[in-house]
Amino acid sequence: MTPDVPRDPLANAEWSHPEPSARVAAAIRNECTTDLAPVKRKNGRTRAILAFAVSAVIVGSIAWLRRDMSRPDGAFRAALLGAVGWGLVQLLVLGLGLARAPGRRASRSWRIAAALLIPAIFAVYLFLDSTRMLSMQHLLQTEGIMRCTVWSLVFGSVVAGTVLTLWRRTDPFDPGISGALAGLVGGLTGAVTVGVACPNFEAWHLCIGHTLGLVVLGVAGWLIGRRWLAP
Amino acid sequence: MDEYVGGNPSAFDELYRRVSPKLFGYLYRLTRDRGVAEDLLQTTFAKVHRARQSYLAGAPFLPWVFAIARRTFYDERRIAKIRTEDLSADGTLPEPRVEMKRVPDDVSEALERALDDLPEAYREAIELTKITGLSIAEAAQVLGATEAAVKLRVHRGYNQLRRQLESYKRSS
Repeated sequence: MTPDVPRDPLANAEWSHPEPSARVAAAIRNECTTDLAPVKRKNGRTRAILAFAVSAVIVGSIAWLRRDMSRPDGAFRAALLGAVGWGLVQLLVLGLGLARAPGRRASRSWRIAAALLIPAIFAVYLFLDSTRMLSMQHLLQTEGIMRCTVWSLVFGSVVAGTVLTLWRRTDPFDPGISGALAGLVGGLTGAVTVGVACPNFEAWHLCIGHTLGLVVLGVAGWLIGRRWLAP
Repeated sequence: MDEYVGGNPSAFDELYRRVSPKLFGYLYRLTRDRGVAEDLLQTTFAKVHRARQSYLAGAPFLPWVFAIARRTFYDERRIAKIRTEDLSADGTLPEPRVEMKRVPDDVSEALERALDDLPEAYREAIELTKITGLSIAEAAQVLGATEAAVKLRVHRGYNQLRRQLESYKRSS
């Protein structure tokens, strides 16, 4: 004799399905279709290419203007190679984190990890690239930390602003995270630009003066993106 | 959506016909006020209209519009909370109304009441998946949570609903 299987009381639950009034439907239709004209859209790939192009122009221009500056042997070439490497990281962030349609991008965890870890990895990279390190008490005397921070913010803001503008109103799911990635892309441009222009290879100078802008723009991008990037 | 972006009004009519019943039902359950839900529906579609130029092709439309609606609801709720309370005519704060809960008339009403009594996170997960019909992945996108978290909320919320419904059936 088979035991009675208890039936799920919710299995055939009848939920109510209210509908909006005809007046509201008409008002919505009127607002959304009056003078409706086709609009041109840029796809994600085009936006990513435009953003990267702006970044490349800034880095390339500054590298060209500062190419004859006196610095240790091989330092300029190393800075250019570093710029190329971090440019590839930028493309990865743009491609996986922003270019695809929301809902089809890299996972939320990956995007958060990228926003948090890339600045940290960049700071470690600069520390390893440094040629000397002053003691902590000389920190505030380290030449040009403020100057490099400001310039990295200036250049980075141009690119971050471009990315935020190109992606405006595109992400209702995680606009804050998308904004942080936009700030990160700009921050990388700023950091790399001062990297190819700056002759100072002291560790504190690099880790603070060349990285602080990256962190500031990431946080600013998150704050601005929460409103700016949501429809 | 692509046709609507291309300027076709009848594409909007089709979009509205497919989406508005589910969207309105969701907003009505969030607000429990028909007037407010209709306002939010109108605001949501206004945002969809403004954002159609920036809608990236390939984005799943239903979760996209539900995420806009959800954000609109929470933005309006946040604005309403920071407004000062209206004073009564003699300048005193109004007395809070005590709602007497009457016994539900039927199973449907009992279900809706049980849904209202769920914690917000469970309620939203159930509304999006069991009532609206979104997949777990789509609901996770709307809620900004992982699929595992949404599954857990649905499971726990469902168990709570089942217990409430059984208790109602026993008492009636």
